[in-house]
Amino acid sequence: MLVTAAAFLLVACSSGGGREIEIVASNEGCTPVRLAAATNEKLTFVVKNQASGDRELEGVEGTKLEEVLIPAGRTRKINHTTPKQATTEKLKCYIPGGPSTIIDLEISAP
Amino acid sequence: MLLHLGVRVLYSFLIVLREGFEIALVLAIVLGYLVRTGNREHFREIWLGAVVAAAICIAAAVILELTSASLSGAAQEAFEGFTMLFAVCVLTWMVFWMRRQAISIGRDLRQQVDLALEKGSLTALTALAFVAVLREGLETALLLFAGASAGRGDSASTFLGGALAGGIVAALLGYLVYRGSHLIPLRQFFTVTGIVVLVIAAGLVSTGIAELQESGVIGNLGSRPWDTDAMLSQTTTLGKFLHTLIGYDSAPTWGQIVLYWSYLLGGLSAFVFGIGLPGTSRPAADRSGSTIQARN
Repeated sequence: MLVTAAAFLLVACSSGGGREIEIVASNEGCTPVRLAAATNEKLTFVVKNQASGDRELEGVEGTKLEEVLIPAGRTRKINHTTPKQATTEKLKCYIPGGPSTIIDLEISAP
Repeated sequence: MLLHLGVRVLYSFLIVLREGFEIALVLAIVLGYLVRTGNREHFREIWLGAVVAAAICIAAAVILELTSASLSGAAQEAFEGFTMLFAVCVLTWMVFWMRRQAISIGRDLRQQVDLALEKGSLTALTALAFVAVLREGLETALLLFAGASAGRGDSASTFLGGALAGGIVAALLGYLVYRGSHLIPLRQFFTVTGIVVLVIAAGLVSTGIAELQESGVIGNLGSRPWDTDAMLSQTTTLGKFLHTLIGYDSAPTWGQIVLYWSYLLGGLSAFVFGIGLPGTSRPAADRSGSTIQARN
């Protein structure tokens, strides 16, 4: 009962996404490797995994983006809000337990 | 963000409430019995054992955190995966052990106290509290770490608020037992929390296997027969909540599904139908409830 009530509360209070940015994961790596956004902007990364195996995306070097698994052949939408200060955020797109591609997300004032 | 934190808080609250109450129950029974038998002066030995054990448990929690933080990538995922599966083993053992103990916990503890006092062995009194707190405290550290790992990206320190609240409520319940209150329905408490813990543990089975798959320690255990991400994404607050609490995975592999349901159905059946309890085949709830002796 408590869990159900909490679940409804969480659904009711969940926030929506922002501008969509497509990232494609393939057997050769992830593209694009450079992205741009404004400060404090709501983004939705649409990650398409076209590789033959699973891929993961997560923030590194202080970028607050939790690790998300994208199974082979699937697409995942990941919401993210950029920081309030201009900076470069780093996203790691990688084969679980294997090689990775670092994507630079340039954050600048609008 | 607040709701996201609430997910962690609820998990740690439930874990610490359950584990903390077991500690509080043991201490309340022992302290209450010492008062009744005119041995209040031995409180110090009991508290000494409890405090030393608590310090060791905190050290163990810090070591788990530091070990995980020192790792990265696949090694960290493998470490978390193995820790979760180890936590499942500990949880399962704890739930069934506590159910057996609950039948005669009061009587057994009083016998141990009597024995220690008769022999004049104050060390035995200290050891009694030490072992009880150490066992439950280590379980708590392990489970909080496993839950934090399942939450991805947050450390166990995020759980502090919930853990603190769970600890306070557990201490209050223990105090009520110490004061001789019969208001706490111990049978229902251990039955309900036992079921909740088994459900949480089943989630850890699935998440632990997923971590090991992601780390490359094991290959994917089969294909992913469905994908509910469009209906409920794991990146949403509700998805994270269910992932942390019951191991929700929007696209699990067949291996995760089979192991999750095998554990859940097997564990709940054994718990509800009293498998492993000595002497009878009646359901656990019927038996333990009628014979718990927690009065001081």
